[in-house]
This record gives sequence, C-alpha cells and structure tokens, in this order.
Amino acid sequence: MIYLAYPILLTLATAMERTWPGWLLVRDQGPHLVLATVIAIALSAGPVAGCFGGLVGGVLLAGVEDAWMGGLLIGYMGLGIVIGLMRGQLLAERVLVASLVAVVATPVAELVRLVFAAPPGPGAWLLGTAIAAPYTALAAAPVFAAVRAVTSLFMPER
Amino acid sequence: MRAAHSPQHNWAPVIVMIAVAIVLTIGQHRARGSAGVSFAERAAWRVVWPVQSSLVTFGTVLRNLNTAALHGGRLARENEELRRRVAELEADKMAMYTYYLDNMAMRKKLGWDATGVPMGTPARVINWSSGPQGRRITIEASSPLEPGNIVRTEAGLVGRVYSAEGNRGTVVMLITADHAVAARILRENGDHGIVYAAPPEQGNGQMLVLSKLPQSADVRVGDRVVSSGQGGVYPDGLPIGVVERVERSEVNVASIVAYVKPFADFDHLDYVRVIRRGG
Repeated sequence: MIYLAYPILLTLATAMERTWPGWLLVRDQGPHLVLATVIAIALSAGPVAGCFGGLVGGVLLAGVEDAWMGGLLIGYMGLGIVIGLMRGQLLAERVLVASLVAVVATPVAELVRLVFAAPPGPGAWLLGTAIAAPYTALAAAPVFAAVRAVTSLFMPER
Repeated sequence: MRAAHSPQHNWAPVIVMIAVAIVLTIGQHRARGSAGVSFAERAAWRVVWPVQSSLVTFGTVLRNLNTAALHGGRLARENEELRRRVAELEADKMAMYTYYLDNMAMRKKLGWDATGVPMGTPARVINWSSGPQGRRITIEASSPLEPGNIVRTEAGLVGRVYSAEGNRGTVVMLITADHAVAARILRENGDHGIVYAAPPEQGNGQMLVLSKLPQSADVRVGDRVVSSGQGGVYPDGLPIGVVERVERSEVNVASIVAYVKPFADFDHLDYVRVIRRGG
C-alpha cells in the first residue's frame, strides 16, 4: 500500500514544483520538492523505498521538464539508496536532519545532472544551485512531516 | 533518539528498479533520436498534468479571493469590467487573426505567397513556468494541439509543442537550454549550422548561438537566419533571427560562432501561431 502512497506524494510534489508561484521564486529558482520527497522517503522507509522514490520521482520530473532521464534517475535513485542506508547513522526521525541532508543532496543531484546535460553557463548553474539548496532544505521540513505521517499510517512498525 | 533499523535489506527490488531505469533511459534516448517523446515521459505527463492544472486553478481562485478581500468590492467590480473588456478585445483579436489567415490563403491562391512558410492558427499564451532547463509557456488554441506542433509569432520562430492535452500545450522555446534547431543563413547557398540558446550572460537569456558551421562558413553581421528543415522537426524557411556578432576562436580557427538576436520577443508573448504537421 505504501508503494501506492509514495507515487501519489511524488506526483503532487512534481506538480507543485512545476507550478511554484512566481512571487515565491528566488532568481527564477524554487525548491526541488521531488528531491525533498525522495530524501524524506529514504529517511522514513530505507534504501529500497528511497530507490523506488528516486525512480518514480525521476521519471515524473523528466516527463514534465523535458529533461534527460539518465541524470535524474542516477542522481535521485542513488541518493535514495545512500540516504536510506545512512539513516541508521542519522537521527532519521528529526525534521532538521531531513533539511541538512537536503542541503547536501541538492548540489549532489545537480552535479550528477551536469554530467548528462551541461548547463548554459557555469555562473548561472552555481547561483541556481546555491539558491536551490537552502530553499529545498526549507521545503524539506513540511515534506518530511507529510511523508513521515503517510509512512506511519501504512507502515506503523517503522 | 536514534532510530532502530534492521541492517538487512532485500536488494532484489533495487536491482530490478535499476534495470527499469536503464530501459527507460534507453527508451527516452531512442525517442529523442526520432524527435519524439518516450512512453514513460508521455505517461508521466498524463499523470502530472491534471494535478498541475488543478493547482493552477486553485492558485487563481486563491489570488482572486485575496484581491477581493484586500481591495474590496469596488476594485472587484472594476476588475470584472476590465476582464469583460479584455475578453472582448481578445475575441476581436482572434477574429482579426482569422481575417489575416483568410487574406493569406487568398494571397497564396493568387500566387502572392512570398515565403511559402505557413503562418499557422492563433493560440493564446496562458501560463509561464520556469525550471532548471529554462522557461516554458503554456498555450491554448481553438483546436486540439499535438506534440511536435511548431509555435511561432508573426516575427519569428518560438519553439515547438512538447506536450499537449486537448487544446492546451506546453511549449519548449528556442531560448531553452538543450534545445537545438537546424538552421541556415538566408542567402543563396547560405551555410548550415545549429541554433541553440546562448549562455545567460550573453544577451540576458534572450540570445541564440549559431554554431557547427563549416570551416569555410561565410557569416556576416546582419545575416538573417532561418530554419533549414534538416532533422525533420522544423520546416524549412521559418525566420529565427539576425546575426549580431561573429566570433572566430583564436585557438581553433575552424570554430566560428555567430550570436543571433531572435526575431520573436520571448519576454512579451501574448499570442502565437501554431503550425500543425502538414502545414
């Protein structure tokens, strides 16, 4: 059941990421809500669920963004697995941890995408990533709370 | 409080998911190779689009409510009057486009068609969005749109419909990163190259670059650039822009890059024209 709930959350996150209000954009940058959701899934349910979240999130985002799927899938699935594996070492129940992980994961995901599709300019890429990382960390807090609530609902033993 | 988690994981599903990811990525590359959209991307779009539309509608309702609450009834009435006036003007504008197209059809029948490039049917720009790959627009036409439909203004090429749902479609524009158009210099035996978005620091995200030109290319400032029709995505002869600057690499003399100012004003797109397959 949880593997039906996660795609619904990821669909919602993708739609919100794509329709982020213009007045909330900082220099054309919004939070990476799909990445925040993948991180929250990995922290809440482990590496397998994190990998699943990365797969679904990557496909959805590539579909609506006209982006290369390879970079998104490697970045998101890889982060889902790694964060899921590390959650034993992290205080995985803390919202703050999700935000801190998001600060690190955002540039990592962007770096992986860089390998597949070079950005128009390094300056713009750096600035965009520098804005997106803290913005994603900020958004990771409510996203983590939502994912955690859904996970507890369907997998109370976690 | 440290979470207690079992270190044992079943890796079989992960291996299956990695295999699925590889298949999906190969599928996308193959689809892009034939200027199409893969099944996975189409499915993703069909799933996300309704949610995205609902969110936009919800946001509009919230914005209207906020306006009504903050500025009171007088402003709301004034707003309503303005909306009605705008709708009337839009209807007039659509009618004028129809007259224009009739005129074009008649000119063609009389043999006055100068370019042979279809002007297309009118569509309205209803939404702007922004992401890591650049800005997109959503357009609404009077008849169903299809992925691959060409979008232009009277002045020049804007891009192509990337995904469509009914009469609405998302347009990937020339100024979007990773988007490329086969182009040629509009001169007798004009050189062929590829046009794509220039780095943002060149022309504030509004400049294009013409590259992949032959070593002996003759490109001059003021040359007009049009689509070449190669690759099969865009028809031949669609106006793209005018060459503003030509750079020859000091390191590699064979490398010629021309900076092209697009004819279309990407910052002020209210109405566009859609060219469907077959004109």
